[in-house]
Amino acid sequence: MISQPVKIAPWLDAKQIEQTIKNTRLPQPRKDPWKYTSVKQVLERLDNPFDETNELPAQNGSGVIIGDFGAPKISSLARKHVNQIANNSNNVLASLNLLRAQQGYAIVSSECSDSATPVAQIPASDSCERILIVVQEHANLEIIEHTSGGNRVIECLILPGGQLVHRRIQPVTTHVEYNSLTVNVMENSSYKMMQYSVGARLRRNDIVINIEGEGAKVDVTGGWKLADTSHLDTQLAVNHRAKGATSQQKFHGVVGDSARAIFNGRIYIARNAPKTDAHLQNKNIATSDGAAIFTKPELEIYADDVACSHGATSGQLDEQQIFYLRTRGIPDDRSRELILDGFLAEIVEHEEGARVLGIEPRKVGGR
Amino acid sequence: MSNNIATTPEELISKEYTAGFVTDIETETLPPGLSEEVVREISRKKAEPEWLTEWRLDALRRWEKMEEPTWAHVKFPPIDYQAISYFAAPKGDKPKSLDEVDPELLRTYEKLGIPLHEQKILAGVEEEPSQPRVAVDAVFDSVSITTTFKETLKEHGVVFCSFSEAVQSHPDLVKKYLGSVVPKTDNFYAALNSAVFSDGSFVYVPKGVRCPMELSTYFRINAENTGQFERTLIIADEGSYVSYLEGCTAPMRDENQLHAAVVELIALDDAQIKYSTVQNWYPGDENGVGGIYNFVTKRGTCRGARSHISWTQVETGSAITWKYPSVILRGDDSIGEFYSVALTNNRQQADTGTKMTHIGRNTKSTIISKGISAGHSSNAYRGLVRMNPGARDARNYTQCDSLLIGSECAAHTFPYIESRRQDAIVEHEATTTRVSDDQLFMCRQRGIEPEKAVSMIVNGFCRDVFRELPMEFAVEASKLLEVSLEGAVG
Repeated sequence: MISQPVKIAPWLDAKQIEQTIKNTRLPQPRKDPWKYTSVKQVLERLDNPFDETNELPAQNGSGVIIGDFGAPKISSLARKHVNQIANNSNNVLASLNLLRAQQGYAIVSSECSDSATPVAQIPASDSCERILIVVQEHANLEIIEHTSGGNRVIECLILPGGQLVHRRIQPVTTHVEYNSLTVNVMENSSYKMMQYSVGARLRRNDIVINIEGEGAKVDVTGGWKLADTSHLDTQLAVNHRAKGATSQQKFHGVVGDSARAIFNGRIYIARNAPKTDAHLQNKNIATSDGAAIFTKPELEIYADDVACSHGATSGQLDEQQIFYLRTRGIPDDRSRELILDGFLAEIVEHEEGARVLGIEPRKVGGR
Repeated sequence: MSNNIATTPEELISKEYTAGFVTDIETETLPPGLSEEVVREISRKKAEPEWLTEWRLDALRRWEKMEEPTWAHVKFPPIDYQAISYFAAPKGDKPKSLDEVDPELLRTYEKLGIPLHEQKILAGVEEEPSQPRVAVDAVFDSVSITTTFKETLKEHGVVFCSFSEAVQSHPDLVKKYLGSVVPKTDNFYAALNSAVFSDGSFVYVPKGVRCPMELSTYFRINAENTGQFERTLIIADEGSYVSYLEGCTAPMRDENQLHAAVVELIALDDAQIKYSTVQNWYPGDENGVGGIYNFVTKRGTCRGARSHISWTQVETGSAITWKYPSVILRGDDSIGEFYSVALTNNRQQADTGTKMTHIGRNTKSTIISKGISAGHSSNAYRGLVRMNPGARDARNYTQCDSLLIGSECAAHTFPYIESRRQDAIVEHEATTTRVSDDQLFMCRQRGIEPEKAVSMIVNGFCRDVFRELPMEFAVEASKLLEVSLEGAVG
C-alpha cells in the first residue's frame, strides 16, 4: 500500500486512517449514542466539501503560541498528540475529520506563566478543522471558542498543574454542526468548561474528558435555550481513571416550540480511581407542548470508595413562582421570562454566554 | 418461606444456597433441540386448540429471524438454543387431587419451606381460620403440580389455575388477552417464550371483587439441561383487587440453565394489581460456575381509568438477571409503581430496571430502585420514563441508589428520560456510595459483629422497598439478603 500523507498532518498516513475507518463499525442509527440524532445527516455534512479556510486566530497577549502543526515549538507536540488524544479507534467521525480537514492548528500555552492568564480565541468557522490545545505544566490558559455549523475536532491536553478555562459559545446556525472535544486532564490540573448554545438545524457536541492524574478537578457547566425546530445533542463522558479527583457537571436547558434537546451525561469511574467525587445534574424546562427532552444521566462505577450522584429533571415553569411574581404586579409574560432567565443565570458566569442565551447581563453571576 | 434462617454470624458464614438440592424423580423430557416439531409436541401434550398451536409456530418463525439483544451490561458465552430441552415434567398423568401427587414432590415443597399451614392445606387438613391464607400454584419444571384454594376462590368468582388449565377452561379470556401486553415479537426472549411456553399461572378477578387471599406461584426448576419458560397472565376486571406473589428456586448445578418467562398484567377501570417477586434462583458458586440465566419480560398495562399496577421485586438469585418489569399507563389517572432491591454477590450480574410509558392524562409513576453490589459482581439499573404527547399533567419520580460492598464490584445506572409534554414532570435522582465507615463504626462500637452490622445497614438501605412487600415476603426478603451477603464483608 502506497502511503499518502494527511493534508494537515503530513506525518500521518491517510491510507492507514482510511483502513481504520473501514475496520471500525459505523455508528448505528437509532441506537446509543445516536439514538435521537441522525448520524446520516452528520455524515452527509462531512462528505460535502467545505471550501472555506480561515485565518489562524490572532493571539491575545503573551504566554501563548498559535500556529499550524508544522510550526516551530508546535511540530513536536503535534506529532506526539494529534490523533492520539481522541481515541480514533472508536470515533469514526474524528478520523473522518482528520482526512477532510482543511485546516489544523495548535494553541500551546507557554510553560509556567506567572503573568495574567493568556486568552486565545477560536473563531467561528463552517469548515472542517482540527485543533490541538496543550496547556504546559503549571501554566494557565483561557480559550474562547465560537462554533458555527462546521465540523471541528479538538484534542486537548492539560499537563500537571495546568489550568484551562474553556468557554464555548454556540450561536444560531442553519447548518448541521458536529463538534468533538477530547480533554486529557493530568494530575493536579484543572479544566473548567462552560458551553452556551442556542438553536441550530442540528448540532451535536461530543465531549470526552479523561481524568488521568490524581487530584485533578473538572467543572463543566452548560446552558441551552432552543426554539423553532432546532436540535441540540450533547454527549458528555467524564472518565475518572485516577484517584482523588473531583468532577462537577451542571446543565440547565430551556426548550420551546418544536425544538429537541438531547443530553447524555456519563460518569465512569475505573477500579483504580477510589476517593472520587463526581456529580452530575441536568434540569430542563419545556415551554411548549411540541418540545421534546431526552436526557440520560449515566453512572458506571467500578470502585467502591466513591461519592457519586446524578439528577435529571424535566418539567414546566413552576406556577407558584409565577404566582409570587404576579402578586407583586409583574405581568404574566414578564414573570415567565424572569423565571426562565433566573433558571439559566444559575449556570451562566460569562457575559458573552448571557448574550448568546439572551439573558440580561446584570443577572450574570447568580450562581 | 424458609424456616431455617441463620441468626448468628457464624451460621451466616457457613450458610449456603439452601434450595440447591435435586429432587430425585422420574421425569419425562423432550430431547434437546428446538424445531416446529418440538413446538407442536409441546402443544399436543397440553391438548391445545389449533389457534394456540399456530400462535406458537408463528412466534417460533419470527424468533428464528431475530437477533439476541447485546445492549445489556452483562457478559456470558453464547447460548446454544439447540442444546436445551424445552419440556420436562414429572412422569405420569397430571394428578387429579393431592393424594395422587408424588410424595417426593410434596417433600420438595416442604423442604423449600413453603409455610406449614399451606402444607396442611395441600394435605387437605383444615387450617386455623386466624392464619393469613395464601393460595399457591406450584410449578415444577414445565408443569403446574397443583393449585390450592381453588374452590374457595371460585366462590368469589376468582379464577386461579395453571395456564394449561385456563386454555381449556377459559379459552375466550386467554385468546383475548394472551400477547396483548407483551406481543410475541416484543423481544428475542419473549418470542422464544411464546413458542415454547409450558406452564404458568392464570388469574382472572371479576368485576368489583377484592381477591380474598394472596395468590402465589412457586417456580422450581429441577431437571437437568432444561429451561423454564412459563407464562403468567393476570387480568383484574373493573374495580377489582389482587395481590400476587412469586417465588423461585433451582438446584445447584455447574451448567447454566435458562429461565425465559413472560408475565402480562391487565388492569381495567379502577382495578389494582400488586405483583411481588422474591427471586432466588441458584446464583452460581463463588467462581461464577453455574446458575440460572434469568431473562424475563414482565409488563403490565393500566388499561382502564384510575387503574393501578405495582411491581415489587427482591432479586438476590440468578447468575444473570435481565429483567425490566414495566407499566404502560394508558388509562387516565392510572398509577404505576416499581420498587426493587437487586443484590449481586460473587460473580453475579444484573441488568434490571423498569419502563414507565405515560400515555393517559394525569398518570403517575414512582420508581424506587436499590442496588447492592458485593464481591466481583456487577449490578446495573436501566430504566425508561416516557411522557407521550397526550400525557397531560403526568408525573414521575425516580430514585435509584446503589451501595457498593468491596472494591471489586461494579454499579451502573442508565436511566432514559423522554419527555414530549410541557406539563409532564419527571424527576430522577441517583446516588452511589459504599457502606460508610461511620455507620459501621457506630454498630461495632455497640458490640455488633461486622457481618451483622452490614446486614443491618443494608436492610435499612432497602427499607423503602421492603415495606411495599406483603408481610411474609418482607421477612423472607430481609433474611435472604443476609444469606446472600455472607462472606461479603471483611
